Amino acid sequence: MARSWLDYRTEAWVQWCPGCGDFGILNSIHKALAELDIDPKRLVIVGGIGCSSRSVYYIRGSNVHTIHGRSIPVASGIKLANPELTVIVVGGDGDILGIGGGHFIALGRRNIDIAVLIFDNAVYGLTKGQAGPTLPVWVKTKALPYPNVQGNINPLLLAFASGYTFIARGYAYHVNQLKDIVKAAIQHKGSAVVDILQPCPTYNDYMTSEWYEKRIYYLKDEDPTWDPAIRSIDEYRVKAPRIVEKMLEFGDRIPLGIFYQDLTRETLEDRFEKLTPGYLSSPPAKRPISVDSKPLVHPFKLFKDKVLVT
Amino acid sequence: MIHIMSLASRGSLKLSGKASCASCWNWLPHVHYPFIGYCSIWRVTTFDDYYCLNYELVSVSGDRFYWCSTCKLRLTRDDAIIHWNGNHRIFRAAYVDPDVREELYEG
Amino acid sequence: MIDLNLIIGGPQGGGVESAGQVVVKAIVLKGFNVLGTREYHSNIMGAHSYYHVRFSDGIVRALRLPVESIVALDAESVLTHINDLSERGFLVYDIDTLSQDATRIASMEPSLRRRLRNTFNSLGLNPTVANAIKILEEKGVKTIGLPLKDLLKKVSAEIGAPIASIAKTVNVIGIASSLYMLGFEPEYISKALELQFGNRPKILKPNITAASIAIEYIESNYGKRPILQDGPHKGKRRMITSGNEIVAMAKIIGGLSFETFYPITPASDEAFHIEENKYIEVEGVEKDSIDKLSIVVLQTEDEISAINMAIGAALTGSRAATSTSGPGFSLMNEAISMAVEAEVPILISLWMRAGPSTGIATREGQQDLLHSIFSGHGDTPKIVIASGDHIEAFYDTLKAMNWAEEFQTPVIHLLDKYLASTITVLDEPEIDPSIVDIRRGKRVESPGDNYKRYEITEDGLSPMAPLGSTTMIVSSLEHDEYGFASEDPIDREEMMKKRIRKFETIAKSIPESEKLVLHGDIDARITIISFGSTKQAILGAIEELEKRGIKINFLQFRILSPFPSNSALDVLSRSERIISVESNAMGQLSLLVRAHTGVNIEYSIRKLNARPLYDIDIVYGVERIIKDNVKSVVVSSGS
Repeated sequence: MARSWLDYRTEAWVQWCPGCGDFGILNSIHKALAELDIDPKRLVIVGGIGCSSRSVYYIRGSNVHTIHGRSIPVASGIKLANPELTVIVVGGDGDILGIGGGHFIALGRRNIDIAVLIFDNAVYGLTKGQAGPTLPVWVKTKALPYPNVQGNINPLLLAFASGYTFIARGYAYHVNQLKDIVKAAIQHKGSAVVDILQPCPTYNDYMTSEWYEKRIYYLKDEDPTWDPAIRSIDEYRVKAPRIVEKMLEFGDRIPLGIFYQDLTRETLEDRFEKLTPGYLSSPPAKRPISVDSKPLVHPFKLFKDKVLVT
Repeated sequence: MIHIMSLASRGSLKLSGKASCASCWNWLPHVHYPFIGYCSIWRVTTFDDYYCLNYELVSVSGDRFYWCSTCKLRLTRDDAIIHWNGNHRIFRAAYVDPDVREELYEG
Repeated sequence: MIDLNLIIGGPQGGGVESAGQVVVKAIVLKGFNVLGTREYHSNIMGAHSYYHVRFSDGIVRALRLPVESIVALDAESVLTHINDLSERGFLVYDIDTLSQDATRIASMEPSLRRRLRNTFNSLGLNPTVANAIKILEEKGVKTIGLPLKDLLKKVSAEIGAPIASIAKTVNVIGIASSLYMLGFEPEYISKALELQFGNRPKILKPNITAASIAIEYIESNYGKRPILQDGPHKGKRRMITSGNEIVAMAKIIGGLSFETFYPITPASDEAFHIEENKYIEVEGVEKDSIDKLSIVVLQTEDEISAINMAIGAALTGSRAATSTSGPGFSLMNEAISMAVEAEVPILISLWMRAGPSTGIATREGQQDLLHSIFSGHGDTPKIVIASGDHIEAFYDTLKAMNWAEEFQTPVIHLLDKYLASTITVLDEPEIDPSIVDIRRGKRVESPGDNYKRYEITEDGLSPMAPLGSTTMIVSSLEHDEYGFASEDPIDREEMMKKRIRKFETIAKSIPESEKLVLHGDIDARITIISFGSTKQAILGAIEELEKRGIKINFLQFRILSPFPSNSALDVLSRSERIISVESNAMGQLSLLVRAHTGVNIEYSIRKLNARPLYDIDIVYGVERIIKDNVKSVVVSSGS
């Protein structure tokens, strides 16, 4: 019997504020996982630190709660050591794009088969609403004593420049549409990122649901022929300018949906398999390291080039 | 453009007595052992006292990089003029062994 | 008894490394034991570097100054090492460098240039190579001026048209001259060259020619040299290895399957050697499809990523490690704390170098002892082990990987730049991997439902299941037995106690004989304490001091955390005078010993100039302490 979304819930009390966008995102993830019928034992949710990173306690899986900003490296280690697992990173814009920004870029370069879900509310909720890396300059939320003097990152363009092969944006309160996007991100083979716009009713009184809902629209609704898939370098050349143009759009109008999905690029796992055939069938987590507690190799045999006869 | 002869007329040029590799434009002295060098015409290693008919006196003129083997520095033209005036040994470039990384350490 | 030291100096990139390797090979072929180390600037090309080699028919414990032979490939090498040559020794140099003056050597450190100028000026001389030769000759040193250019021309003439590889024979002319002077038969030199360049005939041929031309020159100008008798280690299969290499080998042999790193000196060579051997052929594995196994080796964006990635891999059940040096280790601190809280088995090979800050990236220091023990915020007990030499480093790597998994903890393996770049020769029985069984602790592959990752147990160790085997939570937050985040006071206290119990289990499980070793006579009244790569120099010094009538023993601390307080106190309370030997300024081991045992270490010998510790340094220091009754001696040898 296929699993229901309820099979992915845990007994933990969800510790988010009433009205928090994270609830919608969590529900979308539960539903996406159910529709994909992923075995919770083979599912690894990795979180950093922040409200949203706590999702590791709210989704049934074989999960890891790490430290601030480091969910991507931990998730990368897990996936490379055992490529059979489904690995999803959850975290906020501060965790993933602020303190963890360097790792976010590096994941794109590697194209490891991991889905990164950014719960993007533009503020640091747990620490009382400081400006997040996606809060626009001069915005003064109620929580800030002065307006924000630092500019905002464009997560989609950063992902594009870094080499992510699946880039999408969703909205926390559109549970069903978000579920489809998350599903596609998980199914995508390669590094996928979904920037999920999420109102923080407690600290971000600027980017509210009203603010978002006036602006958001779906790429597919605007252009029914919108197809983010890249199947060849020629298709990339044709589509890239339009994709970038859409990624740049963030103001009066904010597009949602899948912007870009590159099907041509191999994952890091595939590259390892090419260099060292057998890696995928016998990855680090599964390969033998000893026989009867004894090593498989001997230094004088394995490192012959260092041995000489006197 | 500052030509070698104009420097000579200013009294700062000391040419070696004979036209050998040591003062030839086509010759790249070894970065560490500058009495050996690479001839870019013959594409062989020669010693600094060799010579041939392709000899061309080294000069600091064009807007390019130069090599000062006295200071072991790569120089822009403006810098090269200063070194030249200080009687340093200026060349077009240095010769570096293509496998030099085998001799290098992590630093 | 043969016991000789030599130095080969030259510009970085000028052939010092291959020259050193050839010399080491020739020495090993001739049947001697050898130790060789590279000293170099943090520079890619051009700065002064040198290879220091000591060989003997006995055990070679440390390098020694002054040396019996210096090969100076350039003027800077003559001048830099002017005080390093023994009166009985000889210098091989290029006569064309005679006119060169220290004040005009661009690559020389300004301070050295100043010192040389002052020294020479006080003798009424300019700091030229010619004057250096004069000074050395007055001291009784034999100087051998090679007409390097003429010899190279001969090489070039003999092998036909001048080819690009002539420049590559400069170093060989130097070392062939030196080895021949020392009594090596030409065959050994050729054979060493064959081993070095055998797969590249275009380089080998001119080098063989260069060696014989150099030998001919020495023979006709300085006479036939008496042959040095072969060493006692003939007819053996022996391995030449550096510290970086032996740790890499041990990791591969011990089943490491995941290594991450960010480039940093002197650690990166270790990861490089693993990567070189990341695809290994194995025999005797029952799994039919596997005949080759791979290791994931990945260069990460920084050290933070390196350790976190290794942590992720470790959670899947892989044997995972990372290697770094001080600056990178600083970045790893938060993740070490996570590895303690979340109970992750991970090995961190910490190759210490001269700090603080970037300090001197390519030089020796033992300054990260306290940093490693106290790394990570919160109460973060962990295992810290320091290896004394290459052989210890091999076995300690195997043990450290075991302990990480058995005790689900970070293990910090302290190594240093000296070990990293020092080359030694080993016999097969000296590194027998079957001595250390591979143990993985309380692993469960199929834990079933309701798995408690942090189950409370008496020994503090919970059964560890890999990610992907069941639903679970691994958490860096304080947690309950399942791993769910919990701020409940009782959960908190129980988990704190569990981690402390685990650390007690570690302390009980690791035998005292692993933790510290007393070398020498237990009844000696003077005791040296130390840790890490100073071990062999201290042992060498003890032998030397014994000859001079001074009896000393040496308490080597191997495991610094958990600290072997009682056993240490047993030894220290018997000693009348305790001297700590450390290459750091704070006396970090002394502080630690005092904290754990209450024993105040009154005497110290410290080396602060970022050069390796020599046995003679310790001999000198001990004699000063005993004869002049000084408390603290800073030893300053080395170039």
